[in-house]
Order: sequence, then structure tokens, then C-alpha cells
Amino acid sequence: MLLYDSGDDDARVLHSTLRAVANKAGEAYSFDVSRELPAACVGCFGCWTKTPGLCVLPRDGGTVYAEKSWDADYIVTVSRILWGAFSMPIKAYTDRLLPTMLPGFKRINGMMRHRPRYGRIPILLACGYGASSTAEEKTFCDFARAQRDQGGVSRESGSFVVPRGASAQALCGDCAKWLGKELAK
Amino acid sequence: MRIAAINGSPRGEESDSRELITTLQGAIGKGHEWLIVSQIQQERNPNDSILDTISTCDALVVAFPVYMDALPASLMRFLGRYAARSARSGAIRRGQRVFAMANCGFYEGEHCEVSLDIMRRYCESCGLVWAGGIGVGTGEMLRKIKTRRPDSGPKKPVYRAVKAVANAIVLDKNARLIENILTHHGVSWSAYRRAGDREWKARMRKNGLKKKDALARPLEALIKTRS
Repeated sequence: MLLYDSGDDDARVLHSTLRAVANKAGEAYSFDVSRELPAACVGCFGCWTKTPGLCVLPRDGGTVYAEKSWDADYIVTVSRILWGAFSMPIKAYTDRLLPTMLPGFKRINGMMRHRPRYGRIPILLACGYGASSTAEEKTFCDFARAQRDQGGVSRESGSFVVPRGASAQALCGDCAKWLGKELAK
Repeated sequence: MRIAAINGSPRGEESDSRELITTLQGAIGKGHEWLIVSQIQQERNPNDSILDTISTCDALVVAFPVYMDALPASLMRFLGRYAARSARSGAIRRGQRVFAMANCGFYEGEHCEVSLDIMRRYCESCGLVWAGGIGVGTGEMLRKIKTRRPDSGPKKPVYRAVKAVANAIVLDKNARLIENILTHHGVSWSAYRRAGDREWKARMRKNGLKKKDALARPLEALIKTRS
């Protein structure tokens, strides 16, 4: 599963490169966040205590994203870096994955985490671009690694960042090599 | 001192983030002017004049829950609005200090570390002054034991962290935390996990569900639909 924003030129370029790599590796699916901005998760925990496994918000793109991504082996998020995190539209989608977790806790890599509802959660890879500082790039890598830790997969190499000032177009080759290596692990 | 506090929880008044703000108000004491803004209320009824009022305050405190290892999307949208607005108003010119108080439902306060970094990058990107933050694990306990004394028992470590923020806010207009503080309530890991399990089960029972219902896998049926 590739999550990206087609309204952004850099995202389109990076997505088409990564999609080609993913196509070679197996069955690939893209999810374009520019189609719709879903309702933001409100932290009601209804997906755990009222309708276990299903979001209680009215059906929208966030519901569809959870349905399409829960059994992926990998989710590759292509996002503009905002303050060291995903852009707001991308984050609105990733917040809606809570129904794929269970309320119970377990210890993963020494820290408390939720148990995955479906036995495992996809490995979360992240490709970021457009940071305004090198500090933002570092925070982005830390953020992406923390997300990967949810599934107990602490891959330092699981993030690719287009450095500040560099062109996404020029780094497509490096980006493709990165994903190829990650999918081969 | 004029202090603005943004309650960044989508749960609004009934949230642990709001409880952190209340604790901060108690730790700072009387004699200061407060402006409390609910981001979720702003999400539903945007009002840009409130952004101008926030920007006139000496200090801004952002209290929020950690969602998927970062700020909730709705809070990001609100902070984006504030950054855009404060670029045209006085907050940046006056070097407004921003403190953050993150909380999460996991035991370890370390889960909030990245979110505090994100708040720091937010301040850097829009010219506000990052003044440090606290990350509170065991966040689900904040409201559960809110009636207990703040400076003793299991609340003590969290209160100390909040008090550090309070001291930095009122010390002078340039004061900030030396470093972020990551903490949790004074309970053991296993006791917190057990309390969490009891809480979910009780909420499910209230909704007419049984223990086994919690493990439902409704999306597995979609595989058949796809093929």
C-alpha cells in the first residue's frame, strides 16, 4: 500500500517511482489522500468498546483507508514533512488506523504498545520530502521509527528523506533503491 | 502574566489534556490571566479572532494527547492556522514562548518524546520561542484520580513535571525548561496494564458487549469481497 498526496508535485514524482518498485515486488495498491480529507479521529475509543474493529464515525475516506490497508505487508507513506511529522491530510488518514489495534497492552521492545487486532500490523515505511531544516528531517526519521516500533519492527533504514534543497526528481533513483532494499528484507 | 492554553484534545472538556491544564492552573496559582481554547471547538466553529487573542498572551501552553506517535490531525490544522495568523500579528514579534504538555495512554512518558520534538519544530518553523515540554505516560489516570491531592501519592511525579512548567512560565518572560521532562504516575507497569484491561472491559459491558467481542476481526470478511 502506498499512501500519498497527488496534489503535490514532489509526491507524484516519488509515488510513481515507488509504485514501479512495489509493482515488481508484488501486488501494489495506491491510496491518494487528495481525493478527500477524512474526519479526524476524535479518540472516542468507540472502535474498541462499541463496534470492535470498526470506526464509529460516519463512513468516509478514513474508513476506506483502514479497510484497504489492514492486511498489507507494507504501508509506504509518501509525505511532505511538516514540523518533522507527516502533512496534516496524511496524518488524518494514519490516525484512523486505530480500529486495527486492540485495546489491550503488551510490551514491545521494552515499551508498552497495543496488540495488533489482526495478528500483526503492516511494516510502516516512510518517504519524506520538503523539510525546512535538517532538524525537521531528523525528527521525521524519529517519528517514522516510532510508528514502526508499534509493530516491533525497529528498522533504522525504514525512512527515506529527500534532503532539504534537493530535487525529488533527481533523487528518484536513490529512492527506488531504498524501497527495493526494504522490500527485499 | 497573560497565559493562553490550547486544549489539543478532540475530546474537549472531558479530556486528560484539559485535566493537565487545570493542574497547571492550580500550580501557577492566582494573579494571572488565562485564556483556555478548545481546538476541537475551533475545528467545528473556526473563529480567527481567538487566534489574535492568543497571540497577545505572554506564554502559550499546548496540551494534547499523542495519536499514532504525534499530534492529532485536528490539532495540526489548528496550529497551522495559528502559525499563519501569528505571522501577521504580534506573537512572533514579541517572542511568545510555547510550552507543551503531551500525554499518552501508554505507561512510559517516552512515547511523548517525538511529539515534543514536533512541537519544537513547529515553533522553529513559525518563529515562536520553544520553551520546552513535558510528556506524561499513564495519561488515562489523569482524570481518574483528579480528586486526589496533586503533590502526593501516584500523582506526585506528574505534578512535579507540571509544577516545573508552572515555575518556568511565571519566573520571567524569558524563562524556559532546561530540558523536556518525561514521566508517568507512580504505579507499576503491570498494575497500570491490569487497570487498563478492567477499564476496557467495563466500557464494553456498558455497551452490551462481551469480552470475546473485543477480539473481533470484521475486516477479514473484506478479503472475500475483494476476490
